[in-house]
Amino acid sequence: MSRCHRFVLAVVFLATGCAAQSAPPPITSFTPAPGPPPAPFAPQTAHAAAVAPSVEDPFRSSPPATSDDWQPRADVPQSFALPNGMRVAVVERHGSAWVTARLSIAASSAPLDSRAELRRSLVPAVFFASGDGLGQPSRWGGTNEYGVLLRGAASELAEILEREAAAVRHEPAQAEAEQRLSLASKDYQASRGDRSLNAYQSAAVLLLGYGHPYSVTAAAPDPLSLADLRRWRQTAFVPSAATLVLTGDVTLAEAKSLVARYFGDWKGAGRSGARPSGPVAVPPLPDDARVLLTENGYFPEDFANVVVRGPAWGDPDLAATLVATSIYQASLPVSAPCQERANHLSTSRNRIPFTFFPELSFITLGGAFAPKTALASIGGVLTAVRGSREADVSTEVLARAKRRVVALWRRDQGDGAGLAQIVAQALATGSPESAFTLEDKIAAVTAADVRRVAQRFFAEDMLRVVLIGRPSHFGDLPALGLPGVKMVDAFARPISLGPG
Amino acid sequence: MRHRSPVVATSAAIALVLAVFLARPSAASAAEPSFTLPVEHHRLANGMEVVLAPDPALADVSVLVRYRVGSADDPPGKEGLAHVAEHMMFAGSKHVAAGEHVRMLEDAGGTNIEGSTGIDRTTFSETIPPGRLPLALWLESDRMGLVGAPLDTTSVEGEWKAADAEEDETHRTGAGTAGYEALWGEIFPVGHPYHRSRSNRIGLGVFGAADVRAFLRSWYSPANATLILAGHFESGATLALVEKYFAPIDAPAPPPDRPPAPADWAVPDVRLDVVASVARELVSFAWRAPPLETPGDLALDLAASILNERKGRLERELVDHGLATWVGASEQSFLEGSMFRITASIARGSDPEATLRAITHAVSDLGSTLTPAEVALASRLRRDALLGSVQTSAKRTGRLVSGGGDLSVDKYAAIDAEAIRRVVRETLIPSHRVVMVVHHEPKSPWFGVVVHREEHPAP
Repeated sequence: MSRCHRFVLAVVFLATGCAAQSAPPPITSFTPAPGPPPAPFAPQTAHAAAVAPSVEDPFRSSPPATSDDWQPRADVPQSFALPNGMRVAVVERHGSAWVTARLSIAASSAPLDSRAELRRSLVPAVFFASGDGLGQPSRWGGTNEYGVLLRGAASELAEILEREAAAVRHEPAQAEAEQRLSLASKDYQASRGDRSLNAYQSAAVLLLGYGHPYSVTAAAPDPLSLADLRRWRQTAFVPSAATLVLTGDVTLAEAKSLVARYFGDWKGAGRSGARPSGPVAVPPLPDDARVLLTENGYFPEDFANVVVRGPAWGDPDLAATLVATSIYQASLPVSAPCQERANHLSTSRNRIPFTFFPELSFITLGGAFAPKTALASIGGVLTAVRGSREADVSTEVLARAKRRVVALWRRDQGDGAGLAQIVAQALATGSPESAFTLEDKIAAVTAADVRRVAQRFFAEDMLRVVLIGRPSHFGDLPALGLPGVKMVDAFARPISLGPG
Repeated sequence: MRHRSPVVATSAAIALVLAVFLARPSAASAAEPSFTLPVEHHRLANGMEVVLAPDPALADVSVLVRYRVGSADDPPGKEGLAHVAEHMMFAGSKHVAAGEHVRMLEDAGGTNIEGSTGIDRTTFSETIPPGRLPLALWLESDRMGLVGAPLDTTSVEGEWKAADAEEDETHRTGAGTAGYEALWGEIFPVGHPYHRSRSNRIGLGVFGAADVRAFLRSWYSPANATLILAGHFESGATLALVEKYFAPIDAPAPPPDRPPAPADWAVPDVRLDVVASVARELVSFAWRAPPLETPGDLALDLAASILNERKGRLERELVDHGLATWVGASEQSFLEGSMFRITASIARGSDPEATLRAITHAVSDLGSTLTPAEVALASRLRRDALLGSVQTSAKRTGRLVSGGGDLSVDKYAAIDAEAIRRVVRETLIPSHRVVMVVHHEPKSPWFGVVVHREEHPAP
């Protein structure tokens, strides 16, 4: 999270519950600004004359007929690679006058060690922050990439690429880099109290163990030298680890010409053209604890997740797992769906909670719950999971889940940024077309498929639970049916419970 | 000759670099890009506003109903009522059982199903496949004003608890910054409709089902509502659907008038010292600022960008000098007035007073040395952000409810350096600002306690 974002988080406060959001837009009124009024507000008398029923009319008593007519977008990415190894995908959408450019560097496929997570976070802050790029350099946690997201008019694409090409080559002066490293390290340490990060840390420890590159463990926050970071950057920030996705009003031919002009001679700082080694080893599932509980009385609501290792993007069971996950999430209770909840949780009731890595994914089922209700809530998830392993889900449940998954999928594709992320993810697996065949795969998922993935990914000995909140709120842990509860601190480090 | 401090020189030098960079020949076309997204405005006979933003290029439709009521309209002594009323809109309506609203939408492929209570407005929204739009309109019309819906004490108490937990969560996460409430209270003092404090946050037992019902009847009427649709639909047919479901709903009485903000609520020059259990000690400046979407408000938006973006003035002034680990400015815009705020996290071991002086200098400097190149960059970045805000149907309804009723992305283009310098000189003035220092005190509450308040007389 950038400093700017943290600041927005800090300043957006109102004692109005849902209204406080983690990012603008500010809470405002529709009342127009000075200037031309949004007139005319002319009553549509023709329509008003045609219908004059009262609220008691029969058409109100039951839901209206609707249609399933919903054509998916048929945009197919076209991809190519530069001689230096940089991959490029283009999705032509000529209905709008703008383009979205997403440049990412998949640092996770480079050689890693236990401090990789820290490096991933610090490199953008140290090396990119003072560049001339128009995008905000950031680390995208879900995909373990650095990158920038840019938007502009189609006529500005050349300028956008020119500036970003300069930004990836930017080398800050020694003094500035040292100062940025010092500040970024302090800021990083101070941000570790974040509940979502706590939850991720616990999930990573449960699923991969301490010291794994994808875990942020006690070993990670050691100070890193600037020379260390420079070496990391030289290894990881090479063209062959970079992916550029362009969506919008741009043709493949235009893209090829512009990308070659601005990125064709990019050699990277070190091993020019060399493909970083990978993948990252995935160890056997740790089994010394099934439940990690972090005491955190700072939040009134309790946080609970069932976590499992899920499929990687290219896994043939991905579609069925998405559907199964939607079924499980639907078992969570929900009251008024409040923006506040969605904005401040790492998971939310209405999202498909996957964190993808090249080798696997983390699936987190849960959310935040009113005090003392979290265990009952994720107990419902566990019941749904166990039930789906034993018997096929009903046709109706399966159909609903498919609709939800497709709806979320299409929603994400509707945004240039979402589309670019999907394409980049698919490209990373070597099959860019997979981003647009997933709907067909979802449609083909059967109850037997759901049962199979429940047995493959959600077997009883694969289930883990992350709890964050007041321990007294989790009094009935044995009822979950999961052995091995450990108390951990905010860094997921084990702590002693002491005598008794 | 006027003395120039090193900091000023640095700022000027970087501004010069920016100017050179922005002035260099671009590979792109010189023509200013144009983005036009059509928006239609209508009004039904019962007073409900209808805003339609059709676009066949989008795959879905987003529906947003905005009621012009928010926490500023909580009756005195019944604070929290607006928020609980919002929650009750999910607790069942005349033809929809409790919990069914969300389930029916989700089963129809709905996403982004949300409610939100703000200071000035309350909104309900969903995104839905085009063919399911009638369902969304039916559901929203069925719960408009909760005509005939069951409202009992038990359900009201249940939603009060949920709302209370959310408000606490808001304070502890989004709010985060200790002392913020004190700062807010100085900008919007007692008597102003925006004034809030923990002590009057929500009153369980103070209001019940009858209060909620009366509140809903008063405020959740079509005459006080705006229906906003954006996405894949055809205007004429959709307007007919809107008429079908919403025109029959009576608007028996106009919504109540909100008591006006006090005319003389000038902010004095105040210094607050706050103790709190915090990971980072903070300093904050706050000023009262022009209302939402006024020229001054937009100019201060740009001023905040200039202070923040791309190694902005604040970072150069504070972070580069080791006074803060991060710093940022923001304009929080509301109908009845806005708040411009700068907050910095004090670097360990540095003097808070030096941080305060540096912020004062950065603001003063902005009013005198701002360059057109800085404005051009900030305006470009703002435009790109606005471009992001019209990418999807849901984002477009969000823009239409908060951005002045249109989908323009170039509203900052007309603001020049002089307009920003002027609003900075007129608004961000030392004699009308609140300065707050948050000191770490382990045994203090997280939200902070004011231990010292000092008001300086106006010059």
